[in-house]
Amino acid sequence: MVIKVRCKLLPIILLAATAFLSSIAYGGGMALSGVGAKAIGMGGAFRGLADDWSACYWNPAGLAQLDSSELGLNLSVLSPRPEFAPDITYDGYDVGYLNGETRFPKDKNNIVPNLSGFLRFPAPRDFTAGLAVFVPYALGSEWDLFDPIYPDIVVPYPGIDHKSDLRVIDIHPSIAKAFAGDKLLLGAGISFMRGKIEYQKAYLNATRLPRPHDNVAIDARIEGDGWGYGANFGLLYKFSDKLQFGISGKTPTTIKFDGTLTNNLYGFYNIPLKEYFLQNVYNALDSARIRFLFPDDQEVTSWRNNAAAKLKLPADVGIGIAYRKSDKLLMTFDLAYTLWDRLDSIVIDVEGQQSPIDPSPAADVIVRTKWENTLRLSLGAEYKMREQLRLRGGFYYDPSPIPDHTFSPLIPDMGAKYSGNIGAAVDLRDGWQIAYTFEYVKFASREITTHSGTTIDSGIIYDNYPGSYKQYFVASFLSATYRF
Amino acid sequence: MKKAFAIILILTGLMALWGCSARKNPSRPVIQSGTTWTGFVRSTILDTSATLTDESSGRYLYVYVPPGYTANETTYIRIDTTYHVDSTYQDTVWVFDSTLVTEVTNHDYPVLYLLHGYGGDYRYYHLIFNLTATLNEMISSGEIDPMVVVVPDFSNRFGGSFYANSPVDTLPDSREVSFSGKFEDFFFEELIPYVEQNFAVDTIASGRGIGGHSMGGYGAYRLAMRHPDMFGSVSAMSAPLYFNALPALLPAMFAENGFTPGDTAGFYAIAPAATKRLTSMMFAMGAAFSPHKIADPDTTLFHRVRNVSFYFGVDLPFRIDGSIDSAFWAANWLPNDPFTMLTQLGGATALTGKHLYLDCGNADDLYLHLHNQAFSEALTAAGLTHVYHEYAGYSGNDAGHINFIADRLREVFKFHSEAFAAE
Repeated sequence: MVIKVRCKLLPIILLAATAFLSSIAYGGGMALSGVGAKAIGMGGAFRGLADDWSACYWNPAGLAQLDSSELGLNLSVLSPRPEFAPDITYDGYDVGYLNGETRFPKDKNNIVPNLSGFLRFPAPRDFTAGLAVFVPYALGSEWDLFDPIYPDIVVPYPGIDHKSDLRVIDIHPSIAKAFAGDKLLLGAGISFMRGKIEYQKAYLNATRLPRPHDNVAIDARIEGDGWGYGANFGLLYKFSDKLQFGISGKTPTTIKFDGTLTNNLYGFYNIPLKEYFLQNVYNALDSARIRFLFPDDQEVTSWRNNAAAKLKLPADVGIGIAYRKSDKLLMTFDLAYTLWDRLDSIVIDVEGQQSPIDPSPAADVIVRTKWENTLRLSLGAEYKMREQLRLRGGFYYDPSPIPDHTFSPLIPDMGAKYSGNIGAAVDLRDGWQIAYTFEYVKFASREITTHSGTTIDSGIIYDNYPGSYKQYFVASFLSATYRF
Repeated sequence: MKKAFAIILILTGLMALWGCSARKNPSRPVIQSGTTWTGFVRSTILDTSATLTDESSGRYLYVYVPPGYTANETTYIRIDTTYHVDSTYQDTVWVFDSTLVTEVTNHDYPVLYLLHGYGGDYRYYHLIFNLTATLNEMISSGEIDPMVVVVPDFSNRFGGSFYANSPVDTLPDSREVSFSGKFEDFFFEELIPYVEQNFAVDTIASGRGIGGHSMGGYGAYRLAMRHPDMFGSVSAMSAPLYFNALPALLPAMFAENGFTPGDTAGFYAIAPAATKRLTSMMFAMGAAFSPHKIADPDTTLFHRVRNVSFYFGVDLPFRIDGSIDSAFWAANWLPNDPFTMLTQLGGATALTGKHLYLDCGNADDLYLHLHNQAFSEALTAAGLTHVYHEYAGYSGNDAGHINFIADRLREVFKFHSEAFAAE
């Protein structure tokens, strides 16, 4: 019965998650800081404890600890507060970025719902199984960072000119079972990840004309969606009633996106100048190029290509310890290592021709990332204030995997994160529990002075955004659990 | 328990509100617009009958007046001008006739005469190098003081007059005419009086600046040295200021014409064309400095430009074997060379006390950075304080002859603004 209900709810859950989720980025890279009000309230130090539904994310072995079946609804309210003062030039020449002033993205509060349902099958079967739908990866921001320097633009350039919006929803069935007299717990889950991506930025294409017409701006938008599959595994060992140890990890996942690349060229509407240049070029190719750059009407020149890309999400492995100092005080500690280095670049395979005047095959778009592996440290504690009231606190440190030479505000993991978390849970009547967690994350500021054209690593030219970055982040997590 | 529940709800609400406020990005600066005018100067000096090449007898000019400048517009005539014969585009311009006088006495603005480069005309800076928007922005932001900027039209049938009086010769019918126009005289005797009559500009040297790009920069230094009482500040961007470096361009010019030194037929077939930029420019210099005497049968250096019964053409300073004719060079071209004028013809004295500026890209297509280095050294040797800036481009866009003039204009305006303020 429960499963039937869940199946009916699934499309609604997916729809809700998709509708509410936008403009988030505060975990390592593009990961959120975790799932579950309790786990986050304890700073994400949860692999060694893993005693609620969110174990399916942190350590699926922990699901075997559930005393009863449960249904859960979780809402996260996420408020990223990044800021960026661009210092983007071409060797000192202004090319249109709004340098010298602090820019803010389009500020939003983002509501992310997570849902779960797990059934506890008592002895003799003695295992737990169920399904959770949560959002492990999301990033997004919308910025106004750029205005072309040429005054004769065909129409005003878009106000929002840089946008990233990645949403990955994990539909995650899990199973867990206890062995060896409930000392050894093993669990596993499968990830069916549905991803949707939108990526927009300004590209400057060299025109070979004198400044300020030396580059023409193209507003490029990539949109796509796709599926990826992975799994996670966990082990939990109880040394005693007071001490338990967990180890868990997940496989890498590759989401294959199919979609489109739309190019909007904001050319020059300047007929006298067009005529001047046409009179001063002496071959048909250059004439065609001039006519392409200078449309006769005040309209954007658009063309669209089909595109496909693979987003390589990382594997991770972590260990955790939970120590119950007394009946009232519980302490946890986690270390997690995330292998972001498989995200070397995002290659967008573009079909069709390069542009309306260039019949050559379209070049792939390569977003260079060169991310680095990270080691996250988490500490947490829970204090039983009364029989029905527990207070929680936690801290985590999580470095950014993104090096300076590929950093941009589109993936605004500004720097190492220092998170302070507090929360509380209240047991209500009839099997209900509600919990609340508040999280404040301070990001280390970042200064990038390396020019975007800097050649690093065998001649590859990266595309970073020099400037000053700062960010903090606040989030609220509210959960309601019904145990039966 | 209800109390705890209520507390959690309130906390949730409060926490959710934290970070709710939408921050505002800085607003864009308010930019006030000046006014641009297209004027027209009727000229007797450039009258068609006064030039062998039948130059037009009037010249448009672009005038920028800063925000706050007021003028009595009722005295102007509005006409429509179609710039482009092969398109339907039509630009409406305000043109005023030099016979109309407006009384503008509210302020005397300093005035910068900005001379265009070869192949350009009065629209040169406005059209290609973003002149109007740059002035609006710099004046609005207070980066420079308000000034009037005048861009005259010194083009001719060769693509550029080099701001010189093309020599006078006697036609078979005994009329005396300039080969391609006495542009230097036109500038001082007709154009400047016209500007000062119609606009509220300073009429003393310290309130007048002169500058330009390429041929315009050449013209600025040439005219400033030949008319020492007229300008307080002089600037040049990527200008040919040292003619002894010009022969480096000859191989490229020969290549434009498929000419191999020693080839007599090829030598006399050298001719300007739209596709032959260097050749056209060399002929323009020939028209300005060394038109062939129409009765002179010596064709050693002669290149015909029109098939008529007499020698209608220019003498260029290289022989059939491709070498420079030193005597001709010294007699006809070097007197027009800014470096020679500076070092040998009294130019240093003429420039004494003036504010001087020159710059050039370090990858100039015409090797003009070598000209400017030499000229800067000569200024230093003459004890003349000046600004010289040799600039680089950016990766993928070298500092060629015209690539960065829009950026250099900002420096030029700052230079002249400071020079005007210093007086």
